[in-house]
Amino acid sequence: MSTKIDRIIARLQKRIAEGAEGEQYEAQQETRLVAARYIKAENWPAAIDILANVSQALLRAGQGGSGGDLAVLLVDVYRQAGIKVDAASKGRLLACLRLFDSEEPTRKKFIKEMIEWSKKLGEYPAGDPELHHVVGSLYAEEHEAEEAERHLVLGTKESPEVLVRLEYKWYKQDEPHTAGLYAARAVLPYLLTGNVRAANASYRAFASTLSGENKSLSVQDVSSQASDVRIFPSLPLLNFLGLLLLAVQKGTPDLFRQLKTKYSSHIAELGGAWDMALEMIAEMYFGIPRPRQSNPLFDMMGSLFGGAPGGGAPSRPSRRVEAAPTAEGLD
Amino acid sequence: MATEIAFAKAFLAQLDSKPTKLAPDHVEDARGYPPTTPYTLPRLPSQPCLPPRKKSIPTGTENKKGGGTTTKKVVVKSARNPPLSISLGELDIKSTSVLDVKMKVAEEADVPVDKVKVLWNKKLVGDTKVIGDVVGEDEGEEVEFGVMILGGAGVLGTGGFGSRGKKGDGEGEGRGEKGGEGDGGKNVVAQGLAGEKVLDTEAFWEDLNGFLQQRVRDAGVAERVTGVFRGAWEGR
Repeated sequence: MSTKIDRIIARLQKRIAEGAEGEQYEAQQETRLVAARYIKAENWPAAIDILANVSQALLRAGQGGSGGDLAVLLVDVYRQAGIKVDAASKGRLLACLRLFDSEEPTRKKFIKEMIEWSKKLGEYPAGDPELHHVVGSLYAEEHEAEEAERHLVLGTKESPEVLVRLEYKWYKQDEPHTAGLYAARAVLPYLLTGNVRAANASYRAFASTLSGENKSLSVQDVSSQASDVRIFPSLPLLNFLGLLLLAVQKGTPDLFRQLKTKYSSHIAELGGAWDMALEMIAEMYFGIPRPRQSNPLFDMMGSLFGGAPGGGAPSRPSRRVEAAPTAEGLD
Repeated sequence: MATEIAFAKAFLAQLDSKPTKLAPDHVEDARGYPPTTPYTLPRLPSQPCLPPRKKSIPTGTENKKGGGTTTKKVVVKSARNPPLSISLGELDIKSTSVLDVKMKVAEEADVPVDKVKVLWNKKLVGDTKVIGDVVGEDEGEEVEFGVMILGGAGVLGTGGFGSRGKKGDGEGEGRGEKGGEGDGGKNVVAQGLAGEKVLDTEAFWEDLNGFLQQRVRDAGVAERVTGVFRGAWEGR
């Protein structure tokens, strides 16, 4: 059986590599037919084999439409077959993903389906972190900043570095005094997913790139017995983030209120862009109930840390981010 | 201007007086995230756009004229337990992932994929990177990766590749199973032993070293730590 499918694949690959456009379209159609037969017989390994190989051959030959179509079908077969998220199943999809041209319209659908599959058949309800990292890095490279952010925030340990590099590049298009705005685009979303480590890593990376590239920028290290922070006298919003990250570790509401009061005029200048994020952070880390109102987004964030959806009830302790005595898994 | 520094000083002094509740490297378990799009900040009207950038050469379109292929000869080596040297031939460094390398090694050495670790400059590299990301493009004509087989020579022959055709698919039974029907003598011994005797076997220290390399992500440090543990145990 496996030799038969190998032969079919080899023949199709050859035709695609040598063939004219019409040939390639036919190869796609034939692959769909053959795959449909295997799918009907629930011979998943064979269906996956032919779809993955021919899809990659088409993408490699610059036939994004046909190749993308088969790649999307491949994810569909994964779902029908209940293929679990593991190194091999991810690897096959990422191999396809890398072959897509960035302008190819089917790529977006493929990415969406791939993430959906990893939500359903993996251990991460928000999608597999490695897949998010690769997709986010791809978007970052193509300067699709907001798409990149949405994936890198759910990525791996390596994601903050990629995200900060992107935010810094974006910052360089803007006025020098807006540094805090761009650092926040990494720091605040990471805090909102409960990833304090990534928030800190992002802040550090942004601040050191900034001072490294601007030797004349005034900066002063302020330290006490237990804490250190790098203060940029001309960049108050960046200082706000640095101090917020320290305050998060203590978690008392007075600290958050002080910070917000001190920087209120600067935050107000942002026209409300940070308000929602800061309200959620106030609740998650400092136990400050958010203003009463039912808002679907709040409810969603509320359910993040174990609180029941529905929102509205002030200071539900289970919603707070707290240290748990769990050992870090192998990664 | 000066108030920034004065405020920070006063703020830090307050911080010192409070107990720490959350470590700076705290991470919520991502398995508990809701299945929704994460919250990211809205874009301010004043924020400029990043100039769009098309990927310079979409990987793999080397068939199109002008697209430069970047293939390099890839070799993987393991100094010991078991010593291995496998040439993987010419690979496109822009589309071949570390996982692809692992799968090839797994097939050649006939071990389960999850027992194969790939190292570059003595550091573990992640599955999803392509070779080009890891080594850069100017690294000469040939790339040599280090490779480590967790469990050492004991797992050889347990990959489920053995007699089967080269084209085993990822979900094939047997490949993901641990130990299983391995015929290596060491494997059997390791399963038969319990208690302190386990620590007398070379396999145990190899496993420990493998774990440390994975956890510490630095082969040199892992080796040192294993040495310290072993020295302390044997000299007790």
